Amino acid sequence: MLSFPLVLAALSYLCIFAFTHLVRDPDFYVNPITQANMYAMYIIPGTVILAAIWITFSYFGGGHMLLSAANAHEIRKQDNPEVYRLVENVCITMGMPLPKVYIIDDHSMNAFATGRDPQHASIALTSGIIARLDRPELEAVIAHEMGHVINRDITLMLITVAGISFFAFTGSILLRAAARSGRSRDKNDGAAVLLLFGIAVVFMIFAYFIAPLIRMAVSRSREYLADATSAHVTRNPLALASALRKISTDSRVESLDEMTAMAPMCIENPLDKIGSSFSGLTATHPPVAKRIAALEAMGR
Amino acid sequence: MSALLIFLLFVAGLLLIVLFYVIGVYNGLVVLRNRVKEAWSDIEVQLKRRYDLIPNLVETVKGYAAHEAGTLEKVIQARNMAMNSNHHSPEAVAQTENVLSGALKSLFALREAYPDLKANQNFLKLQEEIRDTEDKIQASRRFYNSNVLALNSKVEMFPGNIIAGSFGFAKEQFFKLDEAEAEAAKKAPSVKF
Repeated sequence: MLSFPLVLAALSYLCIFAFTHLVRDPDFYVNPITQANMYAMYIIPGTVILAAIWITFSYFGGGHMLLSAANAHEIRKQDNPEVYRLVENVCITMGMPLPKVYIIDDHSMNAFATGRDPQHASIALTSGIIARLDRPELEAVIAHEMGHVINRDITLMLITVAGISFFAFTGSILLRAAARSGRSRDKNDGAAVLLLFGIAVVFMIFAYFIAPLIRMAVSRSREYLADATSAHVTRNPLALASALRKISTDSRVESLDEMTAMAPMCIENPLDKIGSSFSGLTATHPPVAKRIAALEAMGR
Repeated sequence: MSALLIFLLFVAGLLLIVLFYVIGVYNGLVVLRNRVKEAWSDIEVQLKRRYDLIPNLVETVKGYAAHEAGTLEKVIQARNMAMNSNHHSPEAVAQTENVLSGALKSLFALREAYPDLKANQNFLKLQEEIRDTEDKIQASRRFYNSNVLALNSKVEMFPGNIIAGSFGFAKEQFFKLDEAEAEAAKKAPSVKF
């Protein structure tokens, strides 16, 4: 967590250093480092604060976006007592307060949980998953989702995604700044422009290539963790294994097709098999076969 | 700075570290013990819910199966015994609860002999509620046991056990409904028409 603001501060300082070469009065020489420090005093806190605001908005607003996109409607105990009771029992076992329960009208089988902490959590289930899984399997799926909430995976994902998008955003701004300053007056500025350009490219590479890989790796390991939490809570790892087997045949949720950032929160990848990556480094979920094997090993 | 002073400061520093460690362990134990107490009261909440549902159930069944007074009596007796027993020892509670579950099982078995009872909406609703309560007792039992596990581990492990012993932290009992009885208790009111 700490490395993000430090990296941001370091890169910002480099940018400022580059800028001072462009804005200084060519008539008399000012120590560039002193000048950079002057600017840095204002700019670095500024960027860190901007980043913090960006992340805070995502943190508080992230859950609602997903629920409204999926056309989920909230249910009360009398609307579907069976499901509601299952959620209640899982929460009692985990010592968590009850989340808001939503149902998505979709024939496919999927479930997700959102919420920055157990006190502000929501869980959504498709009508398909409710109809097609039996009680122990549905309980295992619910336990997996509540496991995400209690392990703070949603918080982790929201902050990661927000942080990455901030890098992408500032990267694109820097690129534009570098392009404009490219038309400069004297030779000394050439180096500065190149430096600015270089930093922008680093930002972009980080945002579009490296950070997603990190994000996917984190997402996969958290999925295994949520599977283990579910097995521990229900004392029945084979139930989740059999649920996963059924779900892997039909997990696509049409209404979520646009929300690639939110895919990791679902129990199985909700996106079109062709559109998203299903294997290797860029998969958001571990391969189902591996998850089932891990669960069956627990069951012995 | 004489050597003696440095040495004394060093010893003082060491003592401070040990003190903070002891405080940390003690507070951790307090938190765990309170969690166990809270988890136990959650179980009591569910047990009470079951006790409260039973009189209604008995009345409903009485309307249709008046001849089965013996079974009904057993249920009421078991319930009263469970309610009035000493609720501080998980073992004692497990025993009375098993007896009550057994009595309830015989009561629910009556529905086979009395088709009118089987069709009664009130009876079905009560059956559902009691089954859900038994699920909730299992859930809160699991939560309680995991908290007991955490406390017991901390109390037993070295070097924390020295601190635990000197401040009177004892191991708590697990709430074990006998495994076979637990299976029976879970299956008892499941409805298969």
